[in-house]
Amino acid sequence: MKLLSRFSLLALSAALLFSACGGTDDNTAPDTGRITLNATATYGSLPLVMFDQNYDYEDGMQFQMQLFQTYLSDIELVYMENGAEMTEPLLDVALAEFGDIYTIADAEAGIEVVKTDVPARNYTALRFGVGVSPALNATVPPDYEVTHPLGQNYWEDANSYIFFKFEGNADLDGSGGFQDKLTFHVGGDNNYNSIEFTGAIDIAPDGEAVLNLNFDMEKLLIRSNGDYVDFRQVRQAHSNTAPAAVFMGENMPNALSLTR
Amino acid sequence: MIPLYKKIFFFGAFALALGFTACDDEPAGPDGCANCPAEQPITGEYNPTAYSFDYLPDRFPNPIIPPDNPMTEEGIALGRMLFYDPILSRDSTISCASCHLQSLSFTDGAAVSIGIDNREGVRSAMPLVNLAFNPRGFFWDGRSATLEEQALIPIEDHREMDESWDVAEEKLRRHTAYPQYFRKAFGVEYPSEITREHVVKALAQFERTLISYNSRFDKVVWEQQGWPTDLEQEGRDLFFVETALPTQEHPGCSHCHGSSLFTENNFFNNGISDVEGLEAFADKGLGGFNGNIYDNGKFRAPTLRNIALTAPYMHDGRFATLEEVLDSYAQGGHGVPNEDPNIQPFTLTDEQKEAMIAFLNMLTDTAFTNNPAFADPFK
Ligand code: HEC
Ligand code: HEC
Repeated sequence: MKLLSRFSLLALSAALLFSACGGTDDNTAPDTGRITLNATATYGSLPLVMFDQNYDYEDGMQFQMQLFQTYLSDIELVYMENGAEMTEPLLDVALAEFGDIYTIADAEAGIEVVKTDVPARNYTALRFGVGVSPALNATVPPDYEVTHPLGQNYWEDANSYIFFKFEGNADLDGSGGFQDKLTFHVGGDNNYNSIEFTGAIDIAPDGEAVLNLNFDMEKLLIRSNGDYVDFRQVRQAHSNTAPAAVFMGENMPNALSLTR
Repeated sequence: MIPLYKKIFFFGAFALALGFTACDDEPAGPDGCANCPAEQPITGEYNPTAYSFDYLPDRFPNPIIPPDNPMTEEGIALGRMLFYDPILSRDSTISCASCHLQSLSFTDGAAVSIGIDNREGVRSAMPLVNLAFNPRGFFWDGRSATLEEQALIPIEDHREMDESWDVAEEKLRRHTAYPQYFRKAFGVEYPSEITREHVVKALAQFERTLISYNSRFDKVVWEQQGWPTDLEQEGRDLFFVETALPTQEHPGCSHCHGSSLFTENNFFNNGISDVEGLEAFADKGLGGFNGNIYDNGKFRAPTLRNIALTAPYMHDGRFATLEEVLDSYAQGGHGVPNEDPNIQPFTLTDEQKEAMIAFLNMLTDTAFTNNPAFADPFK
């Protein structure tokens, strides 16, 4: 028999618990404001659009994008209370998909990852993971509704979600033909990155903070020491341990920037 | 049981033409026209039994059930009758089952479907398998968001059943038996309350029960009943291989036909069309529906469950056999810009090809194709 709602049940009881607690200290409940987290993607300073743009790469190579998508997990705000660090959870997991972004305007507008009300406070950091957190990565798609972000993108053999995908077509010799296919798929707990951006995120009662998280493909592919994923040598990685996957997994934190 | 459509054939059309059009010109009272005899309520109980998906294995996701169309035994039974009854076509010759045959996993074995008056359609009939798990739109191009919406289309499609919904509704309302089934399923009190919404809800309920989970692959791999043959195992490895070593072939099928459903219902250009550019596809697929040029030539990746039964293959039935399908994928596309990058050339020895086909044959589910609950209720 199928456990139809393992997770919905959990969510429900959590919700019940929460509202019950909320009821008891309604009077002292802090006023709320709103937080929005958007995600954008670029190649260096160029907005990342699928198909329509040639991006100059190392050593005369060029490429065009067809897909960039990534999971974000355990997104939370950090604050201090009586000298202790506390967290305000925003969302357990999201899939930021850039595969439908075909225009510069859409690329600049980005994707809304979370928009939610939170207690008004002076928060001190944004924290999240890139990929699927180890706890969630121990679950499998049938645990979720098919419409849930974790309802797909699973590797049975590796027992992992595919944390992020980078796909496109490369011109390896500057000939103008984009015939070489790029499919980098990265997963596995070893490639999960916890990220924290510290800095004041003040949310006044009825106020709103909008944060923008950018993924820079140039920094994902090229390290500050000059090492890069050489498409002439490697054009695909479909495992937790393939060197290109590990390289990109390690680089991911460098590819991120947060603006307010 | 006597086929319901035979009764309607002798009685329905006449009653319709004479009775109702005459009344239409009269000033209508609250229950219809002034001179018509008062409509009789439908007798019988409305006490539906909820349908249970308890039999679904853990490896399957939850079915998607719209909140306004809960599954009931009565609704499913009605949907099954409507699916097999040509009453919904203009001349009572074509039913859904004319193009969706259970023995062929609800396809029709033709490259493009033949509808009413032998009119040729433009696409290949799709298998009706595990539809309850598709969140991304129905038809090859995803243009119908739900099964309810989808079921509205074939009735009025001139190449398929070519009936008007107004007439179809009247045929059902005036039928000797159907009103009672609509009452059992949806609680309608008067025949005039029977609408196309009830029809498509019933059809969708029936279609959501068409679930295949009992193939040899399920038994061997998930339920550890027996072992795959060496050939099947080799094919399985080739199908699912992810860690592509330079020395290893990487057909990459599971990128698009993965999960326990053997599809995630996403849209791709899988490289089968050798066209000049993105505007040149004979059938634009998803792009024809959403207007996005980069989606031209993209189609929904179908499930590969029961794939051995659903030849010919692809949206236009261009490949007669699974060998041809594999040969096409092995070419690695035609350099059309929006081909999915996971479509890459590979070479298979004859044995490897045979192995992949042995593996695909494991996905045939005869418990599904022989399930009496899915069969023609009029036989
Ligand atoms: C004349 C043949 C024909 C008839 C009759 C017909 N169909 Fe189809 N069916 C098709 C074809 C062809 C397609 C694919 C069409 C497309 O993608 O544009 C299809 C697609 C579908 C799909 C989409 C499946 C998916 O996975 O997206 C469903 C559901 C379906 N039909 C149900 C029905 C129902 C219910 C009826 C009766 C009311 C019916 N069909 C009558 C030929 C037919
Ligand atoms: C990039 C995604 C992708 C990959 C990789 C892929 N497919 Fe497909 N497959 C599709 C799409 C999309 C369709 C439907 C295309 C159409 O109808 O024009 C399809 C259709 C099929 C069909 C026909 C289904 C039917 O009902 O007519 C078969 C069989 C098939 N694929 C088998 C395979 C095999 C075997 C592999 C590996 C060699 C493979 N596919 C790899 C996306 C893919």
